[in-house]
Amino acid sequence: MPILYNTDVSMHDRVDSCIQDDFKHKAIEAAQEAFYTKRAALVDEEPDWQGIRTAAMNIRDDVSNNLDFYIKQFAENAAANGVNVHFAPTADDALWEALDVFENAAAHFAVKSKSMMTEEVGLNHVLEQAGVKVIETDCAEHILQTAGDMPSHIVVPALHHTRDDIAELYRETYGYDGDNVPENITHFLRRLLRHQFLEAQVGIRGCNFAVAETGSVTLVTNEGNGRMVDTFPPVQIVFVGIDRIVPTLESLDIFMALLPKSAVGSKMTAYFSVDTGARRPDEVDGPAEVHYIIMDNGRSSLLNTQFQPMMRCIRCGACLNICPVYRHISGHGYGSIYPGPMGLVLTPQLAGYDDIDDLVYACTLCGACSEHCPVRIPLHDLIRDHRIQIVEQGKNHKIEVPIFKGLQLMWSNVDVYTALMKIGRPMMKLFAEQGGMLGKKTAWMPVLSGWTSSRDFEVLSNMRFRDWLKQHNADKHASACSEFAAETDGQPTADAELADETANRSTAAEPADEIASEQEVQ
Amino acid sequence: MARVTLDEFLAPISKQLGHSQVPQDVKPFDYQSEAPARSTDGLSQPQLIDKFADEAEKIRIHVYRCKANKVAEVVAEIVGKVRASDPVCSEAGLESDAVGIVYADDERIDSLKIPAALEALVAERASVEDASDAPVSTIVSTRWDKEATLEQMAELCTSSRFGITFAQGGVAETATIVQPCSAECGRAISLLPLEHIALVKASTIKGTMGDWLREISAARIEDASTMPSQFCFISGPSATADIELVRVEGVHGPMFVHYVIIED
Repeated sequence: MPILYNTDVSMHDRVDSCIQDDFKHKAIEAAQEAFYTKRAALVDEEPDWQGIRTAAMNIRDDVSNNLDFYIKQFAENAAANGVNVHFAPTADDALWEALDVFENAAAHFAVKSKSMMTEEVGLNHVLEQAGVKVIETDCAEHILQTAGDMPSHIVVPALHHTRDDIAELYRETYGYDGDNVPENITHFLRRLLRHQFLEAQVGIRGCNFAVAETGSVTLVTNEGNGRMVDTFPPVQIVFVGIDRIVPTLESLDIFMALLPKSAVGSKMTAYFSVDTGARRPDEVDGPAEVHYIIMDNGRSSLLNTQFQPMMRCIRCGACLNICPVYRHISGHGYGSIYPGPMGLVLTPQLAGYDDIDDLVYACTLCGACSEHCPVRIPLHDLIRDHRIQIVEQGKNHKIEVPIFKGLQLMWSNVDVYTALMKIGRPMMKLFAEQGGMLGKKTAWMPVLSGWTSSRDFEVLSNMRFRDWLKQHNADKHASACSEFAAETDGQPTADAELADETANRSTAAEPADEIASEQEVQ
Repeated sequence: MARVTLDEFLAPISKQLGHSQVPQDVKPFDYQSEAPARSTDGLSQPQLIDKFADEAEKIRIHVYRCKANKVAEVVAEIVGKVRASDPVCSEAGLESDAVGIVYADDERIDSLKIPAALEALVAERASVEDASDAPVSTIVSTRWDKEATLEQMAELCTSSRFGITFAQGGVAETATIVQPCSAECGRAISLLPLEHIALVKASTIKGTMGDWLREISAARIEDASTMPSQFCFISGPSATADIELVRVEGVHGPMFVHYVIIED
């Protein structure tokens, strides 16, 4: 399954190695800050950002509820425009259809503009095996292809490479003789790729929005490589996911008011092209032959379930740019080509629960993603729904069952609870390190090590909270009585309140100290 | 020959949706009742033009505003500014001692007398001695030729410094131009040359992209042949931030974009 990669390493180990990578962290932090700050400024400028979000959500839901109708309308209009329409229920079907196009055109050289869907089906690998040379033309994708690497972000996929890395890579592979200045490397790429656009026999591209009303496909790009792919190769293949459909030309406006701002924090991208059919007979440039491969590949399983809102996703990456977990484990930690919150929802749906390891647990359920999602997908709720389904289907970790049975016994029976708490403290004391914390010394213990191998765990307190509260209330009552006695000669009550507050603060001092010490160890 | 037919493809999707068959028709989405407010709402035409120009400058587009009878002069001035020693030429893989211009075979461009102004520039420059900081000595201007081959036009555009097109209109909100392609105005003109000069009539500047999409859609419903094989919304130079998030302009498309707003 090309959606998942690096699966011979466990998620735990993948995350571990990503957490060690300081450059990756700084790069992601910088990207998150930059995209987020610029986005926030643009959102503030919008008179009705929330209204645009709601409109987009409603349009998307409307299409999802009648997706069969809209797919049919899109496919029939495309065919009427002279487009060859292919239907692919699965990734394999999509690959076969693409191979057919290459065979019929006797083509062996293709240029490609960035498309997550072709990543999803693993197109490049299959084409290369069939003897077709495929060149990625998006700057970041070209870097990844040259390095033989995987994308780490859906919008800026080569975020994890340094300028030195990239300059060196092009020196070795293509004889680049310049320095490490991004501008110079990029302009080298311009010269390197230009004649390849002109020589390629097939252009392969994705589609941001497919317009049902007209059978048109659209592409949002900044670099212009998408337009190059649209202009020169005589044959064009467009990969269209069934979740890319919008009803009308007019509706594109709402989505384009959201997408560039949410994705990269700009008001608009340099190019947004709307293609309807092949080039007309009297035109000089543009593809003479156009193929749409319309693919399902598991998407329709979202329909009519609690996961249907995921069909709204416009692949902007706003949820990645705000996610605290993404920030730490980085795109490669997830091991899915769809990382971050949107990936946590989509990946299990496309790849199934069996092969995804601990993926859906890479989330703190903080909800920042749902708040920032331009099309209001309740991402963190859906992530929790995946967890619930995993448990309901019995696909959770086997050890969880006895642990939770034990906890259930403890919390549902006062005697067991009291007894365990009594022996808990001396038991924990046995393994505690200086400062009264369970630390690395206990990292050999199964289950517990998940926490103590990287953080300290506090030993149970001497006093139960229940006892402490009883004591506290008794003290408070006693002091209130003595104050009342002192105030009988007409002190203003405000003073009494103040005294009360001070008393509260001093009794609260103990727990506050504990929090502070915990923060230090973190 | 198709492995999977449309009906076979739709059957499981209809089933998942609980539809016994694909609906014959659905209620169209009502855009008007929910139309969210936009920053260009209620602006007068002069205000829209100002907004268009302001937004353009924010994204590093060179903006010129002039009457129709001055357009040829402005275009000649943009072209005439190029220095022979300009380092971006070699970066973009262009010859540094000549400036090539390709323009759309568009009667609006002809009626603005731009080809004549460029020809005059060509003649004038032929007599200038080349020097390192001098204007380039050779200027070649060529009209897009719909009888030519793709290879010829690609070669022409890729070796040109400037491409000149007439935009269908502008979008004030985002400083975007609407550029349809046609036999007379190939896609390559606004894509391959190092600089793109777009001519925009001030009266065609609308508030949002939606305003233009509605117009294009209405025209298509009236007459399907008005729908171009591609129309492109262009907002500034081609750019990337893929290497360490450093913004670089001039990736595969133009490095510089000029809007000449014709105040009609």
